[in-house]
Parts: sequence; structure tokens; C-alpha cells
Amino acid sequence: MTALQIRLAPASIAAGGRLDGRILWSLARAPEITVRLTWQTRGKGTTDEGDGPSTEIRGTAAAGDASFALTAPTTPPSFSGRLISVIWYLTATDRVSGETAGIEVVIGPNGREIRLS
Amino acid sequence: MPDFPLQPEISRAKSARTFVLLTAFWNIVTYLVFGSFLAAADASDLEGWTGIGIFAFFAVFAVIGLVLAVLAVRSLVILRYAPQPVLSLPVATLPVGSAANLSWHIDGQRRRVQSLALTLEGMEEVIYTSGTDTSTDRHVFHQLSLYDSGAFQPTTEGRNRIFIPADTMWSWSARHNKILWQIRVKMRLHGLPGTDERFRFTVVPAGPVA
Repeated sequence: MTALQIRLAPASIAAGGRLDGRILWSLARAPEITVRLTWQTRGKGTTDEGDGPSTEIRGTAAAGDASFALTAPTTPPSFSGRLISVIWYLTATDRVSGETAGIEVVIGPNGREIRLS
Repeated sequence: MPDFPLQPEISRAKSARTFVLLTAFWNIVTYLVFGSFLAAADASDLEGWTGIGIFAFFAVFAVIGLVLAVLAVRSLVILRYAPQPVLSLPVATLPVGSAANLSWHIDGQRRRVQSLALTLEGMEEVIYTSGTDTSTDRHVFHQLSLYDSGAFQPTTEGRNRIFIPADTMWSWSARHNKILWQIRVKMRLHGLPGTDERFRFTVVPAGPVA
């Protein structure tokens, strides 16, 4: 196992819905983990980014796991066009060790990415 | 039920003001710089290829000034004489998957209108930097003709049902990336330059949970 892992089932969620997951860690010291949703644009334009909701996990041992839940924002949804795409990420960052883990998630109407033709 | 008028992306007054000020600034600066150069130069400095080069250099600025002046006059003529499209919706915002009636009419000298086309557009707009230049690029991802007079004499008022697809992206704006919804109005006018204006409106997510 890598030092920090995110487990999500599934990795797509309806906007405004509940995102449940689990963080697993195996580190030198008990971690203080911030789990955060962030979005970023991809495409031709200069990159824009923003933060969604976050939650804190305080570990009591150097190795362990904890569950978390976040409410998925309603906007911007994950979408993909010819010039712009918005990608959501779930990141976990341990302030004690500096370890990070990230995973791409889809947040959109009915848990689907909007595709612009 | 109240109507919500749609505003043009750039008003005609603002466009005319911008062109007039830019033209005045450009031409005054060009005239002052060129004039003071001529005043300071000896006649011998302006002979032969050197003189031709100097005049060619300033000619570029003069041509740009002339083009700006033409655009300024064009925008003033449109502001003063061109008929004006007036559009309104019965709602301030339109959810994706919904429909509304767009009301429109042409104000002013309607007899000048030779052809008229109204189009619903959903558009991506991005700003990007390349070296020291900042550019804007646009792509229309949804397009629906609402009215097109074609070769026939256009009507100057109407009502059209606008449908926003359920599976599309709503209006959204970040610093460099935008999703825009608009009604594009193109007019060909008798004795005047044609117009091509965009009237923005806001599309929102559907329902309490999008």
C-alpha cells in the first residue's frame, strides 16, 4: 500500500449528492488529513480552479483508516467541451508528513459528465 | 407577467464611444509624433531611401488611423440610424430542460430591414495567453435557428419558443473560461452596414439538485 490511499465507490456522484469514501494510511506518525474536493479547467483557456467542500480526519495511529462523507457541489459540474472541460478531484493531504493522494471524480446531473458537442 | 429585457453584449452607444475615443487618441498621437518629427528633421534627412522608409513607417500608422476612423463613422451611423432589436423573456433565468417564449421586435426604421435572423446559441468562451498576447476563442456547442427571413421581406416582430436541452451545460463563468447562452440577431439593412448583435441570458441548473 502507498502511504495514503483514497477509496471511493463509485467515483461518480450526482451533483448535490453525498460522496462517501474511505482513507487508508500507513505513515511514520499519526496523520492529520484534509480531504477536499477541488475542480480545475482543462482545455485551450488559461486554467481556472476552485475549491469545494472539505473535511478533516485526525488519525490516532500511524496506520489505519477512516471513512468520510462530503456533499457534492451543484456547480460547476463535470463537463467536457471542445475548448473547456471541468474536472473534479478528491484529494487527501496529510499535514504531518506532507503525503498526498488524489483521485478524479465525476460530479454531474445523475452522476454523469455533461458532454458538449 | 413581467418581461425581462435582454441586454446586448456590447451596447451600440458603448461601441461608438470606444471607436470614437480610440480613433481620436490614435490619430492625435500619430499626428503629433509625425508632425514634431518633420519639424525637427532637416530636409536632407528625408531624401532618398531614408525618407521613403520614414514615410512608409508613418504611413502604417496613418492607415490604421484611417481604418479606425471608418469603424468610428460606421458605429456612429449604426447608433443613429440602424433599427434596434428588442428582446425579452418572461423569466429572469431559464433552467436546463425548460422552455420559454422569447418576444422580440425591431424598433426604429423597420423599413430598412432587408433580412433578419435570430439564433439561439450556447457557447464556450476561453481566454488564453500566448507569449505576451492574450486572446479569446469561442466555440458554439448548441445552435438553433429561431427565425430566418432568408430572401423574403422579414417580419419585424415575433414570438419564439426557446428550448434549453436537459443534458447541456448552464451559464457558468470562471476567470478565463465561460459558458454563455445568447440570442444572436443578424440584420442586413438597406443603405446601412449590417449588424450582428448578441443578447445574453442566464441558464441555470435544473431543479433543486442539478
